[in-house]
Amino acid sequence: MRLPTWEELASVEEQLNVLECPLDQSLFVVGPPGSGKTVLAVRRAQMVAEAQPDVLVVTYNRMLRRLVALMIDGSIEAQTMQRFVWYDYYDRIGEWPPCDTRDSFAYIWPTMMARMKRGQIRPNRPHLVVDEGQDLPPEFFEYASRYVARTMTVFADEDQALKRECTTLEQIKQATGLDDPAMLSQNHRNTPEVSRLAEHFHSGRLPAAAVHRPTSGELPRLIWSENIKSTMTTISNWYQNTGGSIGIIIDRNNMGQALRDGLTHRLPGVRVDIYTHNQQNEDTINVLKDGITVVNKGSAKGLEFATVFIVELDQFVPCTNDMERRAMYMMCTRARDNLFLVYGPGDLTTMAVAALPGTDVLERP
Amino acid sequence: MRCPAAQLVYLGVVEWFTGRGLVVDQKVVFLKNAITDEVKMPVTLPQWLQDLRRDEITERVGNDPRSVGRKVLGVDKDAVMDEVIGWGQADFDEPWGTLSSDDRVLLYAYFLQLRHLEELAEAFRMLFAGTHPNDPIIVDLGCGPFTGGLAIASALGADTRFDYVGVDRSCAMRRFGEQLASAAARLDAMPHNVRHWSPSLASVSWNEAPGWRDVIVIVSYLFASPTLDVAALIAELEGLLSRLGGGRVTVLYTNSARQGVNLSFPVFCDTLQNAGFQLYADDTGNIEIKRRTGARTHRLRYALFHRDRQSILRLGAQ
Repeated sequence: MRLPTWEELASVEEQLNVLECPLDQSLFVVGPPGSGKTVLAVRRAQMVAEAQPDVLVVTYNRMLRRLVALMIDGSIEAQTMQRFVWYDYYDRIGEWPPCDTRDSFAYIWPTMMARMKRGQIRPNRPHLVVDEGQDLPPEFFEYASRYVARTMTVFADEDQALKRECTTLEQIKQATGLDDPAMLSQNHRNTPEVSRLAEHFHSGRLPAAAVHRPTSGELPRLIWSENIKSTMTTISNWYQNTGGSIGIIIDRNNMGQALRDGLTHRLPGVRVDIYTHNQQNEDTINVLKDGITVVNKGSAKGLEFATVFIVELDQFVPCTNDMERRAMYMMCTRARDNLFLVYGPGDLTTMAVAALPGTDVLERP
Repeated sequence: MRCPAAQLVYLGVVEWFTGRGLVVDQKVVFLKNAITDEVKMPVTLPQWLQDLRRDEITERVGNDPRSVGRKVLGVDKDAVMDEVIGWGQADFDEPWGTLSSDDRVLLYAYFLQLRHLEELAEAFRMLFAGTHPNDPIIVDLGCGPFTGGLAIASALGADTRFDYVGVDRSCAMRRFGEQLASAAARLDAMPHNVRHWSPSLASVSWNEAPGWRDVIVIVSYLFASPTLDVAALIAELEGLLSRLGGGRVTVLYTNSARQGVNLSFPVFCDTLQNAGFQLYADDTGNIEIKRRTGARTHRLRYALFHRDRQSILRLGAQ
């Protein structure tokens, strides 16, 4: 993980505008991958916390919550939306929130808000900071603005939304009463080569970020892999030669587990972690340290690595709808320096090949 | 022609004016005398562009067997401007007498395009003096046969890279524009540029994700049309601009200096300013042009608007 320093942040005017926004004022910010949303969310939370305790940072996925927690070093509370609402509602109403009988993660928001209203519940926090807000349900924003905090800072990018029923920027604005969002326009993370591949999958209305980094001369590469062993060989060789942080993005957890086990065996003494939702082991993983982290696409959101291997590429392309394009866009932009798309042992379908950019953007085997 | 603020706007050095008392309340309110050196040198088009016009336009007209004596393509010269090309406002997709729509467009290029090219080339020369836009998008409204694209390459160099969005209701104009662009590429001018031709702003095919590229909008002689709905035009332009992204937008307006053809300009100006554009130049001026009969002065009306990159994403009502 590599984060800009405070001075680097402050040298970027648009980020400075975000940082200098009065702390008692709500703020809505949209920005493409690499524009610094999470870093700004953390900085803003820290600045608010200097004057007022009980600031809360809310994320959608647990790995991003873990990253935020590592960045703020425990000084500020960071929670996933699901967990925060669960306990917040219990603390204030005295009972667990009602959920759909078929899905314990699906809160019955109208019932909850009616109960909060009857209980004349008032906001009890000075400031709520939300990262990747597009992934949270619109009702959460209504809940948060009515009953959690009068002042909110929301960062979002609907062009990275992974669910069909993502929250639009208009829904966030309507639910919270926030002004139209300020736009971040600079990509500080990706090399131009990585960004060009990611932009191939970009759809949506948020302008693509202008890349700040110089060209690396390293095109993203398409790799055919005969089997999982050869995938492990490629990754372990890469780590032994370059080190740094490596992210492996998989579709199926059993594939991820096999990669994790094999790489642990091949790279003794090297941190090799896998996060799965079932294990809920994110607090044991330090993505800020060098090593290898295996995540699925849902948990990759918000993370960044020097090198990313997107394995099981045939599960992600061809992108037949905007949601799948957004997923590829998000996954590609996790890579700072080097990006590999791995497929095999079978060939990619004709449609999958057609969904990939030309050799001027993606090096072929 | 004086285009005082243009290059300064482009360089983002609006502060330059503050030292000269030209900025009041942070707004440039009066630029007329900012630079007093009128252009005295005749506009000279680069050799490749002269060759292109010779090969694709003047020799084609001159070598046509119908061009004899006072007749061009079989039509008396006196009838061409008023009747065949209607000073640029004709319906070029319709045949006229024995002339095909392609003939009419060729005559338009023969009689009118050169002057428009010279005006725009001079404006762009001033606008980009000392700087060079990085891969801009050129949106040419009422583009005719690729006039704005040729002009910007004339000013910036034949190897300059840009996307060109040519909007013209006439299919024959767009077709001839593409023919000129392809011929230019054969002369090694603009070999890599991407062109997008469309009959209207709403139907422009643009498949790239929105970005932050600079956009230069050319509105040249468009307002000579008496039927143009300016407010609707700008609404459609805004629709396209939002698809292109949030980059800086510069609008260059040129027209005849005759009063009657600029009646829509105040509405154009107000609507653009309401959309966040700032007016940096609004004047009438001269350029010197060279013809076989000698140098002459050509008078034109021009204006320049600029809007900085968008820092706020405007959301519609839910």
